[in-house]
Amino acid sequence: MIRSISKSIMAKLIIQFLIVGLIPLIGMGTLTYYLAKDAMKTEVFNHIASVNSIKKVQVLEFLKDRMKNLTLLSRTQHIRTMLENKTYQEMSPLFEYYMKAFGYSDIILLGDNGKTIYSAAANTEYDPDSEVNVATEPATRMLWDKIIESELPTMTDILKFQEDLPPALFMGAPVYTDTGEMGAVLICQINAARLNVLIAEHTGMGATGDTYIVGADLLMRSSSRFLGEDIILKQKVDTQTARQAFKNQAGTEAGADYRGIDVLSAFSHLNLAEKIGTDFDWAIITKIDEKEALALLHKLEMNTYWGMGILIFLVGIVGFIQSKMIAKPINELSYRIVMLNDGDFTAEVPLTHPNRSDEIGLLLRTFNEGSRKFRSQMKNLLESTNLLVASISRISTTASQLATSASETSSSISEVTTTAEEVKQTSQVASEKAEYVAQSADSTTRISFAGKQATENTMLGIERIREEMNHIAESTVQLSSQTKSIEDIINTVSDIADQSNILSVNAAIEAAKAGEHGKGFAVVAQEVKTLASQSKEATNQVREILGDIQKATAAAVMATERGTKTVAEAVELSEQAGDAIDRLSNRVTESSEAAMQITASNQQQLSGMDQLSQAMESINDATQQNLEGVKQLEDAIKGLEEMAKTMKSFTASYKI
Amino acid sequence: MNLKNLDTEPRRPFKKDAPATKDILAERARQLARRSTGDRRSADMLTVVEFRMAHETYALGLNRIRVIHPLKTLTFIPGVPDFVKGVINLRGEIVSVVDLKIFFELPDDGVTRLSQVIILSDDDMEFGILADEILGISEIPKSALQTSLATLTGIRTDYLKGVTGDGRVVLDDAKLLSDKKMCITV
Repeated sequence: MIRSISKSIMAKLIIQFLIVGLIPLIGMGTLTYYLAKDAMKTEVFNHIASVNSIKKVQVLEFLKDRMKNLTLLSRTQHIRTMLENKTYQEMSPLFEYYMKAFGYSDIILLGDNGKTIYSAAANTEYDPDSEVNVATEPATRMLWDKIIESELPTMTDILKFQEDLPPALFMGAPVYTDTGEMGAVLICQINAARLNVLIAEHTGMGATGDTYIVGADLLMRSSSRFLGEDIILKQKVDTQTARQAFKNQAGTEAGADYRGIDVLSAFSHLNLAEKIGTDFDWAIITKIDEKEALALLHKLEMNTYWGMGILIFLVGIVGFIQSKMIAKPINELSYRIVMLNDGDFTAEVPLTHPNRSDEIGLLLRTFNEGSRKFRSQMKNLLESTNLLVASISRISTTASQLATSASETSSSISEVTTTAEEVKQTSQVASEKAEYVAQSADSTTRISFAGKQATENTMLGIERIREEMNHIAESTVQLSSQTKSIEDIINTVSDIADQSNILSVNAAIEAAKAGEHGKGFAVVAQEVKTLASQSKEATNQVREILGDIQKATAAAVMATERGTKTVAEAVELSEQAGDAIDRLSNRVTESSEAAMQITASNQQQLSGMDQLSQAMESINDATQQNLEGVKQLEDAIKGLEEMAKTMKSFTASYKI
Repeated sequence: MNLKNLDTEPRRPFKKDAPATKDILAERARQLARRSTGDRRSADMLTVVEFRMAHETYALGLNRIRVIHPLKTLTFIPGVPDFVKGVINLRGEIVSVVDLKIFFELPDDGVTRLSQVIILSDDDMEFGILADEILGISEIPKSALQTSLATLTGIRTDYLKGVTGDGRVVLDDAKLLSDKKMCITV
C-alpha cells in the first residue's frame, strides 16, 4: 500500500517534469526548423536569382557586342571596296580574324537579290544568279528580307536550318555602297554552342545547379548540364516557371522542372525585342534541385531529432532525481507516522542529506527531534514502570524467601537442638574411641618393631644369594678356560691328522717307487689318508660344538651379571622397606599421644554442649513470633503484585 | 642363549649317520674301480702328487719326489737369490728350500700358508719346494696334457709338462732339478 502510493507520487512528479521540459523543447524545435527552412530557401533563391541575373546580363551583352561589331564591319571602307571590286578573296584574312576574335562560325555576304555571294568559312564565291541554294540560305534569306524592310541590323532566333548542321543564330547588317544605296547584307553565323559557353559556367552551383535559355515557344535554346547539346530546339520546357518568366519578367519559384524533379528556380525575361530589336524573345532560367539546396536543412532536422532525444533523456534523469529527492523523504515520513500510530516510538526518518536546508529537510529534522523527545519521555515513563514492577516482584520474592527462611530457621533450630544432643552423645563415643586408639597405637609400635627385624633378616638372606651368584660367576669363568684347553687339544689332534695325511702321501710315493711290490702298501696309504681326513672332520665337529659351549658360557656369564645387579636392587629395596617401617612406628606413637589429647578436649566439649541447648530453647520462641509477622507481610505484598501486573501489560504494548 | 635352551638344541653326533657312511663307502668303491681301469694302460698314465700353491693346483710326477715334509723351522740364509727361502733340517740332512712363486715370478698376493715342503731329488741335485697344501696322489692320462696354452706366461712355461683340462699344472721335475739357475755359486 505504502509502496504503491510512493510510486504514484514519484510517477506524477516525473511526468510533470517531462511535460514541463518537453513542451518548450518541441515548440522551440519545430519553430526553429520552419524558420530555418524559410531562411535557407530565401538564401538559395537569392543565390540563384543573382546567378540568373548575371547570366542574363552576360547573354545580352554578348549579343549586343556581336551585333555592334558586325555593324561596324559592315560600314568599313574595306567592305565597300571589296563589294565594288568584287575582291572577296583579298578580304579573307580580315574575315578570319573576325571569326576567331568574336566567335563567328561564318561570315556571309548576301547579294542584292538575297542570294549568297561569298562565305568566309569556306572562302568561296557563289554565283548569285544560280538556282542552287547554299545550306544557310533558308535562314539568311529570312534575315535579308527583314533588313531590306527595316534597313537596320537585326538577328534571327537560334535555328536548325539544316538537319546535319548544328543549330545557330544569324546576325545581319546592311552594307551601303559609296552612292548610299544598300548593295549587300553582311551576315555572321554564331553557333548555339558559343552561347552555351557563356551560360554553362556552373561554379558555385553545386551538383545540380543549372542555367538554360528558353524561347517563347517553350523550347530549349541552350544545352543542359544533364541532357547535353542535342536538346536545343527539341526539349520542351512546359513548366509553370517558364510560362511565369514570359509573363512576369523576373522572379523565383519552387516547383517541378522539365525532368519532373522538384527544383528551386530563378527566372528572368531577356526582353530581346526591346533591347536589340528582335522579333522573338527568350527567357533565362536558373534552377537547383530542392533536395541539394535543402540538404543542410535535412541535416539540421536530424540533429534536432537527436538533440531532442538527448534532452528528453536528460530531462527524464533530472526529473527522476528531483522526484526522488522530494518523494522519498515524504514516503519515509508517512511510513514513520504510520509506525508511530501503531505504537512504535522508534520511528525516525533516516536523513540521507542531513544538511538539507529546504522545507522537507526542516520537516524531517523536526519530526525526528519530536519523535526523539517523545521517545525519551516514553522511555523514562516505561523505565519507571518497569522499575516499579521489578521492585514489587523483588519485594514479593524477598517476602516469600523471608517466610521460607523463617520456617527453615524454626526447623533448623529444632534440628540444631537435636544435633546438639547427638553431638553430646558422639563426643562421649569419641572419647571412648580415642582411648581405644591410644591402646592400639601401642600394639602397632610393637608390630612395626617386629617388621623392622624381619626386613633386616631379609637383607641378610639376599646377601647370601649375592655370594652364591658370585660363586656361579667364578665357575662359569673356569668352564670358559677349560673349553680353551679343550680347543688346544683339538688343534693338536687336527695337526696330527694333517701329519697323517702327509704321511699317507709319502707312503704312497714310497709305494709308487717300489713299483708292483708297493701296490698293497699303496692301498694301506690310501686307507691312512682316509682315516686322517675322517679325524680332521671329527675335530671340526668337536670345534663347532665347543663354539656352541663357549657361546652358552658367555650367555651364562651375562645372566649371572644381571642376577647380581637384581640382588643389589633387592638389597636397596629392603633397606627402603626398613626405613618405611621405622617411620611408620614413629607416626603411630605420635597418633597415640594425639588420641590422649582428644579425650581431654572431648570432656570440655560435653559441658559446652549443655549450655548450647539451653540457648537454643529461647531462640526457638523468638522464631515462632517472627514467622507470624512474615505471613502478614506476604498478604500485603500480594495486593501490590496484582497492581504491578496490570501496569506491565499496559506498558508492554509500546515499543521504544 | 641360556643353559635351558642349550639342552633342547639337538647335539651334533660325533659319528656320521648311516646314509653318509654309505655315501663315503660308495665313493671309495668308485675310486678303487677307476684305479683298476687305469692299471690296464699304466704306460699312458702319469702318477702325480697334487698340491696347491698361490691358489692354483700344481702336480709333480712321483719319480723324483723323495719325501713330503711339513715345514717347521726354516733357517734364513743371507746372500742367496730371493727364491731361495732358506734351509731346513730333514732328519739330520740340510736341504735348501725354494719358493717356486718367486722363481716363476708369479704375482705375490701374500695370502699363502706355505705349510709343506716337497723334497725333489735325483743323483746330482736335491732341494725342497714350498707348497700351501698337499691334495693327494692322482693319475693323469698323458693324452689329456695340453702343452701350450695362451693363459700360461712367464718363466714357468719352460718348466711345464702340460696343463690338464681342469686347470692342473703339471711341472717337469727333471727340468727343475737339472736347471742351472738352481745351482748357486758363491
